[in-house]
Amino acid sequence: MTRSRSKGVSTRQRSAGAPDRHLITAVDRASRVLLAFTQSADFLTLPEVASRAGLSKPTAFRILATLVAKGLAFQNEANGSYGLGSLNLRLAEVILGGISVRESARLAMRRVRNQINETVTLGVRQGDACYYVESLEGRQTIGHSQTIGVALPLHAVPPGCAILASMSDDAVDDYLRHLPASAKSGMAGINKQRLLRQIETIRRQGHAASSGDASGVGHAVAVAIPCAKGGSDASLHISFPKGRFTNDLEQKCIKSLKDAVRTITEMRAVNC
Amino acid sequence: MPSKRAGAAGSTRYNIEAVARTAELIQQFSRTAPRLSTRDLTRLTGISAGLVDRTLFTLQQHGLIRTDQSAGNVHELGLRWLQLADIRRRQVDIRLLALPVMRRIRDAVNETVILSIRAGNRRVNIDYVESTQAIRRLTQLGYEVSLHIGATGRVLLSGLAPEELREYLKSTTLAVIAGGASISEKQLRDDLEGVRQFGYAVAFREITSDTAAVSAPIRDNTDEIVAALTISCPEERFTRELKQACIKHVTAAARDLSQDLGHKAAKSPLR
Repeated sequence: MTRSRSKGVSTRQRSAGAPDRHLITAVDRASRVLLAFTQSADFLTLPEVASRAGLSKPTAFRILATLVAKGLAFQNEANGSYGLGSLNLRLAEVILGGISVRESARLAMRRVRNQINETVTLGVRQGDACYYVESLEGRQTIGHSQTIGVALPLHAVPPGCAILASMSDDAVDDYLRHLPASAKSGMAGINKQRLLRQIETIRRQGHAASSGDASGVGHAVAVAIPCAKGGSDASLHISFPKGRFTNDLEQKCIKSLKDAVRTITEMRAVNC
Repeated sequence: MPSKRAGAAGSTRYNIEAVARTAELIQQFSRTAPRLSTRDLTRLTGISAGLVDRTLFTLQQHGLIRTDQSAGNVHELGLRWLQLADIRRRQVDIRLLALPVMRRIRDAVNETVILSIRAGNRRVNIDYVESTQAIRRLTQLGYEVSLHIGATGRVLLSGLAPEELREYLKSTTLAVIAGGASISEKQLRDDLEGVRQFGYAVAFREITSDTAAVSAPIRDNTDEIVAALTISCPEERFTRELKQACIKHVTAAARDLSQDLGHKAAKSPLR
């Protein structure tokens, strides 16, 4: 009885967007409170949380109190500010445990980081987006820090472009047909012809490179990790501050990444 | 089921219950059960299917849940949690995290507890809690020494990749400070293998001629050794019983701290 009703909710949601009447207000607010925290705003006071989540202070307080009790947030005893709790780490571990390529990639990523001493990041494809799921930072004083767990349109970043280039022409066409939807998430004004030419170049060279990633301040080189079924569902990339770019460094990155991807491919389970 | 209207009308209890229910639902996902159907979640939590679906639908709008309808309405955690976990990891100040643990160890064994990190080819002490005994191991913040010397350094050295270790060995004379004796490369490699295998290092008379120490690695979510936790004492007090107690306390604490940094459940180093 209840089950069939719940199926109805899911079906409607997928076919007709997000009908507000199915949202649970408190869950929606709690999600907004959690997502109010960012890398640059990792500790927030109650007024800051309320402001960022668009809630009143009493509402934000009650939600935070529940999140703290459940381990999703914590309160700093010294100054009363809030941060994200340890449960987030456990949930991330559940997700990462399901990304099979990660296990094969870890050693290779470390080797690349040690060889190049710049930030090495594993990205995976989910739908039309590339998500960075793990990053090992270089040990230099100034380095490129990646944002983990954020959806980036495939065409917007070199690791996504590398994945895109590994897809069949039909799959690329299909992706491009959906581009307006992806572009809404921050990549307006994409030139499709230019993108197709870029994909051709990546296919020819075996790597994607860009002086300017999603953040616009780094240089990135990416190589797709092949999947047994063909195409690719992940990529490895090295990123560093633009100011350190040299042709020599880029060539070293390409060689190191291609060696790493060869190793990962050998180690990887047949099913991906 | 409480209506949305009831919640909006000011039922704080409803709001909190909905958030608590959300936390309960998401905690059902695990490494062994990363994908769960609505029916699974209902069975595991006793929450009605309607509420499960509405809660997960709401989380889905924020990228916190992903539902695969083609696979029979199966849910999994959304990759957005990785962003929150990354923020959480960066919030953590290892010294603040370790200090209460170090105090607890000191209270348990009443010996000096030291937290150290690697800085290039050296190990540096970044915090310590001293024993309250009159005769005790003394140290200083910022004290540094080569990585192959002492239990702490060897724990940090054990985390180096083979090529990093080769570089270290090329650039270092394997001397031991206290006795002026040197350690062979083979002996050092054997020691490092022991640390990897058992999860701790023990050293005598290496930093000074009258100290002993037990050290264990603290790892982060990427499995990298980010710090070493060490108990150090005068060698004359380092009986078999104290050694065993130190190993027990330091490995358990290092494991807990590693988990706080997002390291997955560590293998027990103790048999």
